Amino acid sequence: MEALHEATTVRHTGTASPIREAQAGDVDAFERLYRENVEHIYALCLRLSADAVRADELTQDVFVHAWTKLGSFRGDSAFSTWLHRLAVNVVLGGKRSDKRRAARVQITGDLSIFDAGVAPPRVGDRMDLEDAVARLPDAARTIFVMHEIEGYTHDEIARLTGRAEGTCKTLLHRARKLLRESLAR
Amino acid sequence: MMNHTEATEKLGSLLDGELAPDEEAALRAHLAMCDQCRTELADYAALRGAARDLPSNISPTRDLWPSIAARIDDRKIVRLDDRRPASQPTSRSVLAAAAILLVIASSGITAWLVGGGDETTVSPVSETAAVEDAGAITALAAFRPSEVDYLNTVEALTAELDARRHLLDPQTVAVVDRNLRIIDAAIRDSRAALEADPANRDLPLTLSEMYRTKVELLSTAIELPAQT
Repeated sequence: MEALHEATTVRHTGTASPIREAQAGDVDAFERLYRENVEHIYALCLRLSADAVRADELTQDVFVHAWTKLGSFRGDSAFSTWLHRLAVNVVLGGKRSDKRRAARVQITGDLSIFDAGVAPPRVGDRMDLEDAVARLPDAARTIFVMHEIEGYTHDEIARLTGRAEGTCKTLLHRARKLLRESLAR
Repeated sequence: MMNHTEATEKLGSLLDGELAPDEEAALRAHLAMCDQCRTELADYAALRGAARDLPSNISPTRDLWPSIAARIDDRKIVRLDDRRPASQPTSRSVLAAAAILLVIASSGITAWLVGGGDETTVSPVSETAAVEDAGAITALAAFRPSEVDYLNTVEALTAELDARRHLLDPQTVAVVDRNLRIIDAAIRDSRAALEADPANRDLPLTLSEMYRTKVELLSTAIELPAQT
């Protein structure tokens, strides 16, 4: 996991470090950190939420949250790694809130009919896989993105999602099967 | 000897290097005899490779910094509301996408007003505190501009759905209509409650969720494929 993010590590040594400046309350320095990291955070938010508008919201939440937590960053890991972890927590926390909110208005009837209306992805380029991942059930998509794309271990995913490790493995297996079927159409 | 069902269940674990040596040996023995499992394993390996080749960076569709900067005031944070229901699959039509964008924009306005409507309001992360800090403006008045957005969006989506009804499976249409009636009843009840208690700051949020649910249902419905 750590290695995956080394390439986007923000160097934070020296007095001109944007991290130190941001920690001191410099919004311009924080904007530089935002510009350096936003695309990676947005990619994570987009894949976990499968919703471009929601990904915009989550990305904003991540950076606002990062601003409030900057004081707790001590440089033990790369800033991008710290930010990535924070983003995962924000997105997964958002999913739990979404479920609570959705539960307030219960819709009856069989909405699974909508699944039949989803066009199968085309085969041949990476958008096929992005589309197919986006159409996975939420829990399976979360585990697939975290394990297969972001490189988290099952142990890390279990801790971050609050699920049993065995459940994470089962969900990953399901995601793989669904993607294989979807991409083979 | 591992049977085929057991083998298919363990292919992912083999790929992830998580099998005990005896299990791996048994699975490899099965793979040596089973074309289907070999193909499945190869597919999973290819899928993993493709997943890891996906770009690690994706640009947002717009610059998010101005919105973030607006929420940051030195170390004081004005928390925007975030009360969308569980996300739906990516929209497949411009109208549906526009509808969702409208709803999100409205929800931000709603949250802003209900949360205080004042950039100088300081609320360190607590939503409750933000709500408590709202000014003299009533919750009903704060919600009205967003409600107009919702109603306009619903009107456009309903017109689109009505134009496509004859193309859709009647059973599907019946399910959609049944759910719309449920949501409409909930909207009516919440709207009446808000009119009776216009200062209640929770009711606009509940009402907003219902409108959003309706917009998302309509957005999905207008993208259903025509009956063949």
